[in-house]
Amino acid sequence: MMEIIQNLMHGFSVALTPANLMWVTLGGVLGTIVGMLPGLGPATGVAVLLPLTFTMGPTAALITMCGIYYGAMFGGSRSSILINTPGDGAALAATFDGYPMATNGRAEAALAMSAVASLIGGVIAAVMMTFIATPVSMFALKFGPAEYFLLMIAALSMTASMSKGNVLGGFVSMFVGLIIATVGLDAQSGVPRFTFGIMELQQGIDFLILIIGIYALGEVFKSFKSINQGQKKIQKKFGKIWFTKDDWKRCLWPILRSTPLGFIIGALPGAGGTMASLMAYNNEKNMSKNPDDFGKGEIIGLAAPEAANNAASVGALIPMMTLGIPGSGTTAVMMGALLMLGLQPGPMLFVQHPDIAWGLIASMFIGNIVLAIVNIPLAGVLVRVLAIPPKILYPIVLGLAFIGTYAIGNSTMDFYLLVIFGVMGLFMSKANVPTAPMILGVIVGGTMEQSFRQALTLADGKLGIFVGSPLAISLIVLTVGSIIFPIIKQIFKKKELVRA
Amino acid sequence: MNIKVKTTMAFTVFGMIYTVGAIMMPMASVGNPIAPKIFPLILGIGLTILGSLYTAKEYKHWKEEQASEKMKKINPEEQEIERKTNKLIIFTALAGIAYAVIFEHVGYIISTSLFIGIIMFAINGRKKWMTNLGVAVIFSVAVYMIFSNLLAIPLPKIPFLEI
Repeated sequence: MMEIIQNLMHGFSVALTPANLMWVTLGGVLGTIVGMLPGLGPATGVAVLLPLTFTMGPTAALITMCGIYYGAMFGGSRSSILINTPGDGAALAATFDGYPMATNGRAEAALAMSAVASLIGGVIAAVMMTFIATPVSMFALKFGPAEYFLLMIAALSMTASMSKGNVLGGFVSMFVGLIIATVGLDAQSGVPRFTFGIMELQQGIDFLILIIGIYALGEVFKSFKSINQGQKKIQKKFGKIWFTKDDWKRCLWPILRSTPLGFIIGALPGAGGTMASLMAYNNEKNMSKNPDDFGKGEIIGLAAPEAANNAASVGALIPMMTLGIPGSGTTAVMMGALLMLGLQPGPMLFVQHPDIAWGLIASMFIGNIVLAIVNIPLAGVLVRVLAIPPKILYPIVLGLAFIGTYAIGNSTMDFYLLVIFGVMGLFMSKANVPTAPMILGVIVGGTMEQSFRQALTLADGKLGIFVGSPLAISLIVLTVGSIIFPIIKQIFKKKELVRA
Repeated sequence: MNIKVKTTMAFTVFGMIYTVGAIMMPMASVGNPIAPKIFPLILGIGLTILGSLYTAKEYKHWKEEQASEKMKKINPEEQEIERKTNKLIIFTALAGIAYAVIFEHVGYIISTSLFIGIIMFAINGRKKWMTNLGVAVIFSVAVYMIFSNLLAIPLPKIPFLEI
């Protein structure tokens, strides 16, 4: 206990220098701006702004990234509230009551409550994370290659089977991701695999390019459809951005209830902020005495999902930091950022680089607080970005996507991949195939194969090693369960339909 | 066939081609000669099987939709938007490829101004050429300055002028 607090204090001392504070503020403002653009959420925000951090030291880079991450989340809810257009899935729930509040002339209260609820959710979740991270990573250190391989299988199949109503699509997407990860020189034997004689492909395909392709290019392609529609009017003049005492009294409990819920859902692979915020919303609606007020500008309907959403974003960092397995697109980008800095997330991160691991946790506290401070008084100024026509913004986002890609590998070969992935993302979304399992597959693919082969070498090629320990067996049970559960659920649903 | 069936079919075919590629891959000269092939083979076969199942499911769904004549009446206005959108997407993708081709030869500022510029013209129209050019040039120069001066990440320079 004392040790954890000491570690955290050390983290704060690393993160709280004037220069780092400036970076987190700058990152937060830029992130807010990107997050406000319709269709562009935290994953795109971090991916596109990543090159800004290349020349910083690891701590400064991480704290800036945290600023961008939370900034984009704040930005997403700004556009939900003011123009009824969520920046990403997680900000969707903020449109339900946030936008009606704005049309009822309570935009100020909505903006302030969303910021405060996010702040409380984020900070409480960061406290939870502080105490959970060490035990989880200590436990993960006991994993051998076979267990680690099975853990990744479990995480992947959970992500794939979370794909709503399209489990098969989720698994297809996951396999495509794992396949992309096999491109390049084989690390153990040096055999070139699927490189087609192209030099640049020998190092493999950087998953950041996939992420920028899918999230930045793919999203811009998708939004071309609405680019010619008239622009929504937005409120530009605001009164004092704050809420009433009565609002506060009514929202406090819902915020405190939704935070742990969001945190736990966020920590599950594949679930993430969208599910957390929708669950929190439905929860509060069910518990309310006047459920009919929801959807008409009920402030609780805004506060609860915002708190859950931010808590989920912290929870999602647990599997990424302690196990090296990101559970969502956004945490995948954060992991990419860590890898770029030469740091391998996973249990060893806490042992080998405690300053980085704890610096990151401390950055979450600081990021949340700075963002709330920046966002409440400056909301009126920042939302002016929404007044810039998308016809100008989207070409700029495209420009940023390409420069971000170039900064990763200094090679124009990556531009072709970027275009291919962007088109692929567009088709996948048109065909309703989820993209998150693919991204996760590309990220863990390499390590997964390594552990698979290491385990086989250790066991002289006998497959028995994958059922050789109680831990391995429980992971298999978890995997099988995650595959069977949605199938059973579907069968039951069908039966009910037949009966009805 | 609708886009869902086509996309799932594409995945299945990709799985097959990949499996063949995995079989044809050279053997390893150190260690177990087939070691680098095993994992790709599992993946290729897995994707082919899952892809076929998925295609079958989407095909059945599509047939059912057709049989029940649930197909939405095609609205000519919507069709027009769809056509325009697709044209714009293809145009942007091609512009991206052209950008990749000229990027290192003409330097960052020129290639990026051209890339952003033509996309701006395509979506913002010819009438607003001042805005289009302004955004394209200001963006290119600003990014170039930030990267080469503030971030110390070198970007391709304009030949001869060396800026």
